[in-house]
Amino acid sequence: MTSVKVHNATRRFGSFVALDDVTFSLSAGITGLLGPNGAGKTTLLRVLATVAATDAGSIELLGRDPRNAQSRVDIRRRLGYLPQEPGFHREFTAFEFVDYVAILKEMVDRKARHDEVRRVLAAVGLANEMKKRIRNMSGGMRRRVGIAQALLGSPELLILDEPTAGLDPEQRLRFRELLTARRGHTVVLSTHQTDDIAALCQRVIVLLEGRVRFDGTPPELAALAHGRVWNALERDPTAQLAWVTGDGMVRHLGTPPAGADAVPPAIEDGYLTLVGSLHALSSAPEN
Amino acid sequence: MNTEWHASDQMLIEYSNVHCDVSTAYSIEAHLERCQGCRGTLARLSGSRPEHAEEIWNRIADVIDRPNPPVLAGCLMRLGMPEPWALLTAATRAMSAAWVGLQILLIGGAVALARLGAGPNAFTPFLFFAPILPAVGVVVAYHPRFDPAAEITACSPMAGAKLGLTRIVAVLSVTLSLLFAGSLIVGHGWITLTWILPTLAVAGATLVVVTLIGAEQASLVVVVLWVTTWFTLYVLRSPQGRFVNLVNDGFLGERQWLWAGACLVMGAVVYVRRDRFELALELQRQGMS
Amino acid sequence: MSVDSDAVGPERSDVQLLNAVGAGDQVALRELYERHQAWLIARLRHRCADPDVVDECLQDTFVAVWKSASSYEGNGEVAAWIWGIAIRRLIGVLRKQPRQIVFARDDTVMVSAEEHVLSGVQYGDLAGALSGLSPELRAVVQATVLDGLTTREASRLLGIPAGTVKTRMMRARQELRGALT
Repeated sequence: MTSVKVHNATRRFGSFVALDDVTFSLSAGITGLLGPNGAGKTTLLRVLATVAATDAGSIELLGRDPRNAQSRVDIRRRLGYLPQEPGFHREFTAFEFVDYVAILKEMVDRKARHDEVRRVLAAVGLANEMKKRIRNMSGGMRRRVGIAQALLGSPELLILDEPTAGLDPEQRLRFRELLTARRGHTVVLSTHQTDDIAALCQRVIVLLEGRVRFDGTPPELAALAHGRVWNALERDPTAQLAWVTGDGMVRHLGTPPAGADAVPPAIEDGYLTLVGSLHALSSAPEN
Repeated sequence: MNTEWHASDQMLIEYSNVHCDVSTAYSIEAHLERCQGCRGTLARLSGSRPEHAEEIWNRIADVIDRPNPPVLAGCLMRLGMPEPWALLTAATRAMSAAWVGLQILLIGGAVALARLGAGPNAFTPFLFFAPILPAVGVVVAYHPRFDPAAEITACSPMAGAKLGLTRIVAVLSVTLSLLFAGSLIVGHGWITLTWILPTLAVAGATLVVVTLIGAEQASLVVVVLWVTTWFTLYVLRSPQGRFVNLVNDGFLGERQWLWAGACLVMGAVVYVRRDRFELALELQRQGMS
Repeated sequence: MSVDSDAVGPERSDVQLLNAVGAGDQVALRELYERHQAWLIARLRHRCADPDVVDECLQDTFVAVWKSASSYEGNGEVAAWIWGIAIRRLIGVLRKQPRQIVFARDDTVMVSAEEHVLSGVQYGDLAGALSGLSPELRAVVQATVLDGLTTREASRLLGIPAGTVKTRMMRARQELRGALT
């Protein structure tokens, strides 16, 4: 069943076009949103989380129109959202904060609500840090508190803006497990980590300058660079895009340098092919 | 005591089924207090369901994990407010010491002027400035800038009229109580209570403006309107009298009926437009309906 | 993410667990609960027939253990200390509710000779002597001797005046003395 429909959505901030005629639809499964900073990812996710509006086009979330006040409440009852910069009541403990959000999500019964708060905090590995004040927490821990509150009530639509930012590798692994268990619901996440996409997503959408430039599976994105990825010992000065990898080889994207070996493309190669400019490399993942 | 003695399995089973004679029960009870081994055997043999023990443990964990509510929420709960609303109210920034303190300062200043000045006109600054406080308070309650978790709040099902109006009621009750206390201290009798209806009307007008243009500029608009209206009236009517007379005229006597009417109108408009209350700032501004 | 299992290692004694609980260790409370809940439930059920009251009492007991673990002075059995809390919680819970005490059950089953001998190993003829007591006297002995309650607490638990507790205790002593000599 289609849970998210975005049709010709456009959003401008002054002369800056954050979303430019964006159209796609999503059903159950995990979808990754890739794109350089300023490509419109956060604006799009805020629209999907019913906290931002579009100037033109139509949005349908869980079969409802977020522009209608009552439908918006219905959508919000089934929605979890991790903002890119979730603010916190810093003097609250992790438990108190998530409990507060649970009240905002209309969980009235104290016992059931507390059980749910403990469940989501345990799911992000904060079972033993529930009583820690948020102002004393590291960035990674705060991000996990943010993920925990988004999971409250097992929402059908989960919107996560850069959920893995600030998480260490072990925590990222645990986060992936957490999400994989939710494949039955619709999850949309933005990330700068192409390996998150490879590990998690059944679908990837690449947003460039407010437009959808790719919409398909992760292997399809990688396949965009098919026959265009080469490993060489030396950097080819004429190369369109080349960088040194961990094993000392120089990975080239584009036309083959002399004596280079063709390499099977990764998602990152597909993404970079799409971005196709050095400007984009500066904001691309650096692994 | 003979430490070699241990309860037999049979005895423990009968004991845990409350099906043994008194003297056996006494022996077992005296023994169990001292023997970890027999306690363990009893736990194994008692046939109680592990889920049952788990359920009681959950109840224990719930009680010992439960954070003490903030002082304010605790007071509200003791006054009979349901727990969720008390917690929501207490988390409202507009209930913070900073905003309450600022109001106490301002009201204290107006009270001091009224007490120190001579005659009934000394009370005019209090009358004139009282309605401005709730106009600002409404925005403190409503603007995302005053909610540290604004983005998370905004996408919650409570983010419409429910949470907004809860906060506004909380803010207004503090402001009105402070103003009321202030006017009691001034103590000119009924005259000192003439601020009530105008203040409620301005608060209502602010809410209406919030539903029209969003919380961002609402209080500025209302405060500017309030001040300029009075000064325009003054300029139009001059040189008949002093500004204080104009204000006093505007608040006193049959003018109170006008203010009462304004309150009703504003209340009705707020009720009709209740769906337009929305904590997501962008949606406020865009006036989605 | 973070480590969940820092509790492995050599098994901690009840006293160690209780000290850890006093320092705010919830895992230790959990362990203490797992060790003691079964016999506490059984013993409470010997004093109260209503399973809901027993559950509530058990819950209250461990909440009280959590709050007052730091006041444990380190002498005496932890189990006895917990029971001291549990029986007083039971008094507290019962005070709020109609009495459901099963003290002094009349349907005492007949004891086999073998069991009689077994229990006699610990208490000598005391067992037989106790069985000879009337249910009312037994209840008082149980409350004051076995549960270590004060006269006032026993009177609350049994729902009889404190004076009656005292006189019944005196009579029970006399009878026991008579039976044992």
